[in-house]
Amino acid sequence: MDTLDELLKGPHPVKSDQLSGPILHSTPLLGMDVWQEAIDQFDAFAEAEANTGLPLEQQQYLSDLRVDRYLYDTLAREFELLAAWLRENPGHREASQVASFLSRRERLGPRSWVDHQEKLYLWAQKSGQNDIADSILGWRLLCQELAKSLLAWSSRNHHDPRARQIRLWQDSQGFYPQNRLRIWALRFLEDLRAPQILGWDAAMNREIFATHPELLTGTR
Amino acid sequence: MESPFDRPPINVSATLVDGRVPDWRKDYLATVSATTDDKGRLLDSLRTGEDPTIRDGINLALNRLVDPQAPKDSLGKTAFLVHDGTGTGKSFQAILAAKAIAQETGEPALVTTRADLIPALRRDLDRLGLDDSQIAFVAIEQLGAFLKDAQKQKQQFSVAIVDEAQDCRIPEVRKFLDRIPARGQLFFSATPFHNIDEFCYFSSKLTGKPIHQIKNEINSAKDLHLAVTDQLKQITLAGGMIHREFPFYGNVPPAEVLPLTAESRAAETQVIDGYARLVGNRHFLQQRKLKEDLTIELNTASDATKVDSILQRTLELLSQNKKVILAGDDLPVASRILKEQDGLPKETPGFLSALRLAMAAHGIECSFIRAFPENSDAIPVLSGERAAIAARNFEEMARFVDGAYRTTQTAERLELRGRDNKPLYAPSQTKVILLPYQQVAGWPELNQRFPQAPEVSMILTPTASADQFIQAIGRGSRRNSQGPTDVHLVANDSCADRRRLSQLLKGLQFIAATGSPAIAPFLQLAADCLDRASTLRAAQDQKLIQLQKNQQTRSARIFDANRNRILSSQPGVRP
Repeated sequence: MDTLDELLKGPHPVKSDQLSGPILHSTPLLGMDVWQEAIDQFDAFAEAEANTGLPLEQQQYLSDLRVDRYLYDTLAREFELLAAWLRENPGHREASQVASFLSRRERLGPRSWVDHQEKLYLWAQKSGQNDIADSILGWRLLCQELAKSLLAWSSRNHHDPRARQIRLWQDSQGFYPQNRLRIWALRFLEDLRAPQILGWDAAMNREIFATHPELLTGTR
Repeated sequence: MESPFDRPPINVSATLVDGRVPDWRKDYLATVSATTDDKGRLLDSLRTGEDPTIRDGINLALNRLVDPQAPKDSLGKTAFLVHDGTGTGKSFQAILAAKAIAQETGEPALVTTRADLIPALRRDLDRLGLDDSQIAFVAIEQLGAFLKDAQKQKQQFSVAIVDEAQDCRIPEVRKFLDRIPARGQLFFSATPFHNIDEFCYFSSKLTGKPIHQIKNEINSAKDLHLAVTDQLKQITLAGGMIHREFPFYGNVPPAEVLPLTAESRAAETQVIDGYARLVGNRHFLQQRKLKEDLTIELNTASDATKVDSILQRTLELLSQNKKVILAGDDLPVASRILKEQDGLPKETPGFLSALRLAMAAHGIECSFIRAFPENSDAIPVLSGERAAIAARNFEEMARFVDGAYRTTQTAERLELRGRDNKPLYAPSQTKVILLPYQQVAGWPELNQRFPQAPEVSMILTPTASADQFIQAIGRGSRRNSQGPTDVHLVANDSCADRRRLSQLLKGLQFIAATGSPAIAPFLQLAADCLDRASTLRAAQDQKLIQLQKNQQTRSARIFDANRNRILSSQPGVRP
């Protein structure tokens, strides 16, 4: 069973919480804490009436997607506010860090990518064994593993700004954890766990675009 | 064999803390009285009868919930857990606790559970001669909408009571539960802890410690199981929970461990080596999926070798006038590695599907429960497909269940009862049911519910999930079982089975750490089975190595002889 055990061990995502550089703190620049505001304003009951009576697992699924959209909107807002700040403060000593942070904006992509995961997942489930389906399903499994470890890490480090964003995950790794991981990685690219997440994301995009571009309809 | 259900359940908590379970100080149940005299007898017997299970549960829970000194979680709520096994009277305790605490505090109690279970709770309320005053029944699926409204109306509850509290594994449920405007939380579940995460959630609720602190304590412990047992002891001694359970009712003979044929072993090695090559050639994301597929492929291949033996075992059991519940996986595989002669991937049917065909060939009709598509419970767009399978499964299950039923115009299945209000017996249409592990939960009527019905035997193949394994056992041994259930585990010495057995054993050890007496025979069964499978494999490996050595020696001799012959046959050359 040794060969099998060895084979079933990997692959292992990077789980180190070390930083490769300073994280941008936008609160002093904007005079407001975008993420804290988002946490405070998150309406736990926003879709309660619409979802009432649905099975619990479906409610969780819909809630996960709503959280993913909310995270997307919050990061988009932070980008927007920082872009406005940079226009007004081009000579500020933190301007270059902000400009570098804003260069990530393009990688955020369209919001529809969040909802698009369902289409990809269902297609991969139905299409059986092929490279692209393996990638899509493997991507989700890897992200599940990493999102779970991030959730556990955040509960131990709740004062860390990287963990604070995870508070918005509502204690769930998400049905499509790649959504919330991508937002988190874009915001905290300096965390050693982040580059791999964006790497997987980019690899997936490339692979799907090269082999099944029809699956990306409406996301570009 | 004497039925353990004729006696009160075992007080697991008392065993855990050497009888030092805190005494309740006040009989809160005594204050609850029936509104109608004719139905008051049942309630009286629960209040004053010999079996203290329900009385103790309610009074211990209220003792804790009304105690201002009791630990509180970060939201200021006090919690109590009734971890009672199936058939110990959790539903009665839930509604009686609701009544008692409402009377004690003057505030209504909120009772929540899945929507389909609320009518049964209301029926229990009626059986006890009680009305629903001071109790708000809210389906757990409707909690969000209810709370939105309750916030506006500034409603306040004495306690939020959660029946089937294993649903707290769902983050959305935890979120809404914490937002119920209630001072306390009372949880009822037969299976609250499936894993460390769930254990930590309840442990945090019951001790008031932050969840990450509990996780740290558990993860940093040298012995995980000891740490779990220790935490439960502390919670029990502090009056935070109670655990009662019936032992397993039946027989557990040693597992049947089948030797894998040389051909199957070679195929298994070929598959593992093939996947190793594949993994080496694929990128990170695909590797993760391949890992999962390898497990499925090996499991299905391993199970396929058991079909004939299990068919024979089933035929034997049927000839002894027994009914058979067969639990296993049903995952068909088109191999990524093995090919048919025509070059196409070798296809292996799912284990249960193969058994069904084999049974049909012997003229045995089975009830066949189909597994749902993966995650179809969560993804709304798959709910139609899921509902169609569920309807078909319901019909299949009904063919296996004993008893007389009629179907109403609204397609509701109603049990027919005699003059004494007891269910009428009628034999089932099928005697064998094939249950995929994925679909093994639920199904409360597969056991022997009538004394005149055949006894039930179970045949199980290994699964990595202890939860699924125990759920499967629960189809046979239930509170209303009229006879013992035999459980047969059939495994082989494949890598797949040894791996599944090893994971199963770990899961069972975790459950055993929470003190469940029904686990004991299965812990022994799995440990013994794994041990025998490993020994068998080692012996087979040794035999193979010896065979290869012998062959090598023989080949060397033949080669040597040939060489001598060739050399000596060459004219003019001396050897």
